[in-house]
Amino acid sequence: MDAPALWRSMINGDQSAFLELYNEFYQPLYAFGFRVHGNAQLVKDCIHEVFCEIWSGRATLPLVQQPRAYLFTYVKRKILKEVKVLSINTDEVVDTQHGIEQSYEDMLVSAEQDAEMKTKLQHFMSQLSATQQAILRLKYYENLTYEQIAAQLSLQPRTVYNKLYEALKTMRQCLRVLLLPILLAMA
Amino acid sequence: MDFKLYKAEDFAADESFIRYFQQSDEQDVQFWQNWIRCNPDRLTEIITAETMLARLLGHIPQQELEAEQARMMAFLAQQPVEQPPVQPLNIPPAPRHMLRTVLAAAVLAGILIAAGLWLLSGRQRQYTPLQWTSFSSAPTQRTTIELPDGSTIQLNASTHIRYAQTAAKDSLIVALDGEAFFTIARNDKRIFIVQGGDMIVNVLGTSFNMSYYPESGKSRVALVNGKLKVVATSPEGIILVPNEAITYHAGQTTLSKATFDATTELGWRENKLYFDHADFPEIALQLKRLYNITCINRSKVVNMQYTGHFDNVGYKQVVASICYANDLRYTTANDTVFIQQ
Repeated sequence: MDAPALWRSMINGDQSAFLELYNEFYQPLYAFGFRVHGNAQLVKDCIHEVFCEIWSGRATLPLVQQPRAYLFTYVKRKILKEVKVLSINTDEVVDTQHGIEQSYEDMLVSAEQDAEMKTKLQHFMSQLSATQQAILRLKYYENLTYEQIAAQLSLQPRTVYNKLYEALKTMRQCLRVLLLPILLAMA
Repeated sequence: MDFKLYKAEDFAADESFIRYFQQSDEQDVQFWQNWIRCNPDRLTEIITAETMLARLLGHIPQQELEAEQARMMAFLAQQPVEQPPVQPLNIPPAPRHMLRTVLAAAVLAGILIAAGLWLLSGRQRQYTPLQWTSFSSAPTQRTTIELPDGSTIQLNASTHIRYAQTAAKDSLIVALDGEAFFTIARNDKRIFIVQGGDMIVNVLGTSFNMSYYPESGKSRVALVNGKLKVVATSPEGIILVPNEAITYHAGQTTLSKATFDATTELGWRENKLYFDHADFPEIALQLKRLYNITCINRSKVVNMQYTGHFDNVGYKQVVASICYANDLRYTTANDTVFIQQ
């Protein structure tokens, strides 16, 4: 079933369709939410609340054609509202007008729970050239194709690919030691 | 394009593979799920690629995701169970009445089961941690394990192995720490992989000796009969034929084959200890594994070497012979041997 069909079943009270939507969109929503605000717990809470509100209020929900866009907007609003409340309570100045997006590098590092991995990632990022960092961001954050990235940076698509490949190779070296236990646990 | 030659970096840079990982394209998801199933020997590269992508895409770690899913299940369980307005025939009413009457404890159990089923079904990532079965042999002890299919694994002293079935159900992966002799029944349908550090051996119905010592980062495999594929530096791997062996040190970039002497290589199976131009770290490693003795070199001799063999003797005799050959003395204290001038 595709997303609009799942949405329809969900509105009609089908819990498994609701769970399928949740499973399908959780990771993209989390990655997106993290760009809106860099507090993992807050993002998780907001996504949880959004899904709770959707399930509770399913009878009054519209039949949307683009559940993905609907969910993204919903989560973004939720996070911004939450941040506003937080900033009033804590007197923290948060410029919601101009967004509170953090840099891609900061996002990657702050997403990491493990302290050792944090250091490794920081080390990895510091080894990359400015172009390589930009390519990583455009590829994995903005989700652009090699052609689009090439056009934006005035490079050949092949060059973009090669630079990205080099960055990934560096990343693998940096993470190598820490990856091993994961591999052994999963292999 | 031959994906079999792909390394983790290639997968992580491949647009189709990224779409599979993001689950944004059904065709890519199906293609890669199928490909991974058919190529279990590429599993480590795939998992490495997925681990890198999870970081680059800012994904939530699996454990936290499961915690969030459990949280959602708990929320759903609290919600009043109501008749779905459009699909009245979907669920028979009886179970719902029962659900209302069960006790809180039973509801909690239900949540856990539902969460479990939910985690198992649907669009979960394929690599849930596998169930490993472990076997160890103590220092000075040798053990033989028999697998359900009649294959046997003979473990040298202080050896630890774990084995698990891979995602492609009929395949086995064995992780080795120490030394073991494998006699594996031929089965063309199954894939049998032994991993010793960075060296991965794809078993094609054989008997062979393999060792991996994390202390020295050295992996070695010696084939007695049958056929083996060894992968360490390049994904293509090298095919071994009987009487050939490969040694691999962590970080090495090329692999080369050599013939081996079966008496030396397999001597441990008859309680013999062989040294062939063994240096101090090698000697210390063997003494630790075999006798649980820590050997410390306090002499100024850094390039000591020993060639020779021992037939079922105690550690003191081994140390005495090595010291004699290098013109050194030794003292013992508890489980430690000090080698001196």
